[in-house]
Amino acid sequence: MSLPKITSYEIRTSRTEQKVPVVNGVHLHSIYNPFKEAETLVESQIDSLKMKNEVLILGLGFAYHVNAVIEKLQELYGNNFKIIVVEPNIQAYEDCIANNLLNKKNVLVYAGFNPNELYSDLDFVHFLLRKPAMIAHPPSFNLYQYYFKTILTFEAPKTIAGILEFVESDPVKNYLKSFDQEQTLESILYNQLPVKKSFNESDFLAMALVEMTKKSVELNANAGEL
Amino acid sequence: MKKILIVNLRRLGDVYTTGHLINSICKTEGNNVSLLTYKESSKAAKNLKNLTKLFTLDRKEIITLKNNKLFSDGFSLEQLFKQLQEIKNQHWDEIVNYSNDSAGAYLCSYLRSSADKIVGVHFNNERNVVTGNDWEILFNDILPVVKYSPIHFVDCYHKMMGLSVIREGEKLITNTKHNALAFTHMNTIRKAQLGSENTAKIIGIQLKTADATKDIPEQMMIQLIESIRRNTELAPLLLIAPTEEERRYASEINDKFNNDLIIVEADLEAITSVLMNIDLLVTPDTAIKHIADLAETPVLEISLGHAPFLKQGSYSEGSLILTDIITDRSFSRNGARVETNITAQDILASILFFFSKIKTIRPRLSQDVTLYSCSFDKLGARYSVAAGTVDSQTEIHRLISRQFINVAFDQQESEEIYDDVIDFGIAAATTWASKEKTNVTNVMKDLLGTLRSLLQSLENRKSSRDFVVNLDKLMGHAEDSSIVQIPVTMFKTKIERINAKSFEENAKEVEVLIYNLKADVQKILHCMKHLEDKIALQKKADFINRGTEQVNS
Repeated sequence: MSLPKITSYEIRTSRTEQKVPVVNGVHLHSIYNPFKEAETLVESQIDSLKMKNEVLILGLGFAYHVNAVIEKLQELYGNNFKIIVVEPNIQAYEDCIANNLLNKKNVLVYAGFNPNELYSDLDFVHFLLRKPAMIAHPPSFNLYQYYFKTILTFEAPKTIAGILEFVESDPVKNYLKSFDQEQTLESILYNQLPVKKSFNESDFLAMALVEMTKKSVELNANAGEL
Repeated sequence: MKKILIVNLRRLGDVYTTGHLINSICKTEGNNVSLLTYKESSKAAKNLKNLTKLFTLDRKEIITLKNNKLFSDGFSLEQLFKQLQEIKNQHWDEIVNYSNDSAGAYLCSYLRSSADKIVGVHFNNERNVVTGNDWEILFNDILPVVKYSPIHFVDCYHKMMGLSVIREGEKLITNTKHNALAFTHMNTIRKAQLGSENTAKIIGIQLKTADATKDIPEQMMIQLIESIRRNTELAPLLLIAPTEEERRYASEINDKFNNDLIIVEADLEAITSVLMNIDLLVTPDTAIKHIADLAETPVLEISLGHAPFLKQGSYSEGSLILTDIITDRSFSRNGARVETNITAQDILASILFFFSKIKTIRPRLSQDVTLYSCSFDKLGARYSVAAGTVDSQTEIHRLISRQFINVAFDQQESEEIYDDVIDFGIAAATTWASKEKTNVTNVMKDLLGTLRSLLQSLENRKSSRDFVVNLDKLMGHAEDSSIVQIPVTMFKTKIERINAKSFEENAKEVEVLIYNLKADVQKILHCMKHLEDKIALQKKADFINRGTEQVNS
């Protein structure tokens, strides 16, 4: 999937003298008071922020809401928090940085990444594995709805050819390359390997993976049947 | 000095049991031991002393990567690869598969090239199970099929590694502050008892296990606490883990005692300090039991559900195990749940027996309840009947199986075992010996028939059919509920692991194995002969005693 198409982009100034990006005619922050709007957003998410010190924010805009979240997390956890922001519009990100609008404390921004690139990034994957709280910045989410929904409902490729894009270590890559590229790893693990006559070292590793995940795979299959 | 890695991908309790082996390995020539566990069990591993390094596998992460559609399947394989890289990239003298499961077997096979030797189940490139020694076959192939294990798992692991059990030495890491605090609090509790401070005993009671079938039923628990409290020299101390569920349960029980009970909520690290300062732990089969064993705190284990106490029961000198008679027990997870005959009164009687100095006065227990005590012999932990109902044939069978292992595997015999058998009575010992003689004779007959047909088939291939039929019949004795089950299962396992070669080559290997089996059967006969000699001696002694009594009267 390519990134959202930007047909128009401009920066306006709010009544409170803050810069506000306007993308495809949509104001990404309040044209009256972006700070107040950001505070309201954070207040609405206070329960989940109290539960998690890691937050995934969908939409950067000019970061007023991100800064408000940082402030709240600092109040709750001191320095022990982390935020990842996903923003499809590189121009908005660059202007936000150039204008020094983002408090960069413990924040990592993924700007201009398509879903495949995002889910290939191990830092991003590990962050998601820790089940962070999620905040969608409403104007950004509405504007880039298709992009964010694709991220939230992403399904990683299953074929070996597709998987190879995600793997970085050479021994694992070389092992996967030894199989038919059109096959899925699932079918290799559960159908092909168990009947293989002669095993190499990596086959043993793959079978260890099968055994370690077996129960959960069976549980998933049963849940599917229900 | 060896560099050894132990792989244990099991749960908390099993990880704790590794502590015995780690202690013995380290005390032997100052070996250095590392451990690989799942991340979720690593909190147990962190409590173990003498570990050079703890490696962990984040199974939950790997499962999420594998099952969640968001993430590429490739990541799960890559993460497993990365998490093992540090282990893989160094050289080990030995890697021990303590998991005894498929995941551990595949992992150890993957790590094979990084070690001089793998102990425990693993595979060769054809995915045949590789066996290092007969102890491994005993552990992997025989113990799972015999109904009443004659040897404890911990001892079997030691034997597999060629190690003697070293029980001396600290096996757990403790926190000095926790120790001091526990010491002070326990002394305060003792002083508060009506009896003398020196005679007051604190009885730790573990309220819950991770498996409800192993729990002491609530009503029994309440009655037990009541009866302990009635004894002025005993003070109950309820032990719980810091979870909402256990807090709620403890509080419900405490309500019944006007909130007078002392409840200790402790995590795995702190509980060690508590256990070190109590006099006896009463517990079902839990991780806490294994911690108490490592801390050398005496345990009264209430073995319920499928808890396999003969394989993994309390492992410390003098500990007691209270169980329904073992012939009524099912040690399999899927076995039908049987209502227990154990009562609170049985538990209290066992507690008092533990503290009594005169062990000859045995507690009176409910019908079909048995109390075992743990002692150590050359083979390791041995569970002997201390009181209650016993099935003497089953107990004799268990004892002579242990004796056979002594003789066949370790070339040493224990006189004590024969004495224990005689304790069940001359009649019971004679009945058992005569029944087993028939079984041994049948095996010997089938063995010789197999050997004869094998030799004939080497001369004339047409006889090979007879050989196959005879071999099958011989291996069928692996299903017998008899002492011959052990050597025949050993034989069967080795036969099944023969790699297919020419008929002549395979026949040669089979012939050697048949002769080995014959030697083992002769060892059983040796044990039976020795037992019969003991029976004869006992008869003579009884006769003399009777004569003396008559003269005296």
